[in-house]
Amino acid sequence: MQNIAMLLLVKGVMIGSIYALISLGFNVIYRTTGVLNFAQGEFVMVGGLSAAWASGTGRVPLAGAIGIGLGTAAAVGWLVDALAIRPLRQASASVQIIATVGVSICLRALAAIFWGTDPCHLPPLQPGSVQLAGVAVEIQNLWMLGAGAVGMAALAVGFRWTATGRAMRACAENPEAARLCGVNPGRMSALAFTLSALLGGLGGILLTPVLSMSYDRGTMLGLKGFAAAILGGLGHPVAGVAGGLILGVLEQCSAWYSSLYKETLALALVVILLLLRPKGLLAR
Amino acid sequence: MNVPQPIPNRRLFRGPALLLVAILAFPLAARGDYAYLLPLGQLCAIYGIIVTGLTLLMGFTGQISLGHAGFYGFGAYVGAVAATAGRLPVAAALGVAVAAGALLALAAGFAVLRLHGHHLALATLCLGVILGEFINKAQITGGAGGMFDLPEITLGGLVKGSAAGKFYLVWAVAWLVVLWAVQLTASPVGRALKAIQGDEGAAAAAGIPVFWIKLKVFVISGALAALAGTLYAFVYTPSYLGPEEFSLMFSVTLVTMAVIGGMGNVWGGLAGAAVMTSLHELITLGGEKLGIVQVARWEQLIFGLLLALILIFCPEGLMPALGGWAQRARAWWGRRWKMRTRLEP
Repeated sequence: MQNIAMLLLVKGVMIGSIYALISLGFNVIYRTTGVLNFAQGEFVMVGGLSAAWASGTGRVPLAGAIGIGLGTAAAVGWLVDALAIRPLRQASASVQIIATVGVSICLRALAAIFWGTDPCHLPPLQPGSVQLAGVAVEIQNLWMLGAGAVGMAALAVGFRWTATGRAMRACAENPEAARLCGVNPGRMSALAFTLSALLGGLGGILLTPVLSMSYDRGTMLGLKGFAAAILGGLGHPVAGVAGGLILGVLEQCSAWYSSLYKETLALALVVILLLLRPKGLLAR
Repeated sequence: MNVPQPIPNRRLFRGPALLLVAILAFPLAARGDYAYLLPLGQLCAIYGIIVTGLTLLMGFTGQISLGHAGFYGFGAYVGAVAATAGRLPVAAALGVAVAAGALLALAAGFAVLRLHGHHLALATLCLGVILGEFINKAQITGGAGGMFDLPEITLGGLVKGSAAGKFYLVWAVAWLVVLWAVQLTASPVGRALKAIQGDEGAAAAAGIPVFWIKLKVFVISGALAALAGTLYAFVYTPSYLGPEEFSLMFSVTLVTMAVIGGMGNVWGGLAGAAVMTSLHELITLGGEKLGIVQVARWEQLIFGLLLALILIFCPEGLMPALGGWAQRARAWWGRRWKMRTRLEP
């Protein structure tokens, strides 16, 4: 029994760390532009698929493939900002959010055209597993957890203590006032989209060896990240990571309890948590 | 001070009258080679009914819902189960489904409407996924395989099997819904909704029972989605009802329809549904006419691009943009008219 609880906890934390990475991407964009980016899951898909494609050609070493995956994701993030968000700078937030829905449709279609519709695979960063509290944990999973932790720490520190981070936050608070202080909201928005696509791409590269990746996987991952970000309390990276880990554990537990209705159980618990803490779990 | 004046009835009901003429004329135009447009038209009406409810909820009352595909599917399946396993006549099954949709929205709304903004969006999203999972996995709904050979609405043999008859039936319902929404939004209740959207605290201070009105609109929009679901099940495809239609992504598509149509306008729901539903057809048709091979491969991409273009050029949505163009055209004609009268001795 104790072993099962441990196993569920460990597995939940591992998958939760991917949700945490995606929720970090949501937070970066939300804290800079006030927009909820519904193409966030597609960044994950692009990162994973482009790395898997590069590695699948057989001429690129794994490190190179990872570099290609990260680079492609970052480039896509920058392009999304330049082509879809910048022309709508003056429109309301809901219109910009729907624009990201359009972007996600385009990205899915492009991925299906370039990489086909079959699932792609990628070798793990480091094969093998270690014993952790009586549970075998793949080393790849530890990399996922580590990436989530590093990303969260870097963002929390960056948003709080660096000039660029403060400038980004100022843009969401009041773009006009930020502009008067010499901050360029357009450049900050481009930076936020690039950074968040980089985080999403990293999540995709780490996830592909575990669960494989195909062009339509991004949507569900993006929604899980969205749920994680809001569950924790939107706008705070640490809260988003906590939300991701909680969501991962809830999911594993409900999958153990009833494999048929695992989403129902996990999401019903999310609704209950929301009703108990209507402003987010870690909101003050 | 600028006191809002009631809109004269003549102007208020010009739109529904025009729509009625268009509905009556459409099947006469869509004949022969174009008969395949009739089912598409039925789908526009079905989606239009849901999105009109969603526009009232989102555009007027300011409450987001990312779970309406769940209510839509719930209505369809409750109706289908009542008509097959429950052996009810179709009309009674339809009534049961709409009532069940309203009750579900009442219970769900009572719980989640105390949340705001993104939190409400997440809670309704969870609701939609939960309903979708039940539809996809429960025994009684046939699971992923779906249900076959549901009874059809025939209205005493009047519309049996005829695409034009079905078209008139669904559009008659959609027309009544729009008519009702038009008069609602022009009434004091409509102004109360706008007040809630503007500032809930101020609305409450002005004596508006904010929570009850939010709940009422949520129940109405849920019931409308369930009604659309029954029309989908009993009129659009009685031969087969599957879970694909009610996916999570469809909730997002419904919200997209509302935004594309223009959320501050009751007509936005119909306009957005019509545009988004026929866009796929237009892309395929245009691709064939231009002789581009493999349109299917590029269709989704073009669809996404067109969506982004509509937003870039009409950020307020299509209906307000159309209104703006009509006003500009009228002003232009007015100038010409004045010039002509001045020139004439």
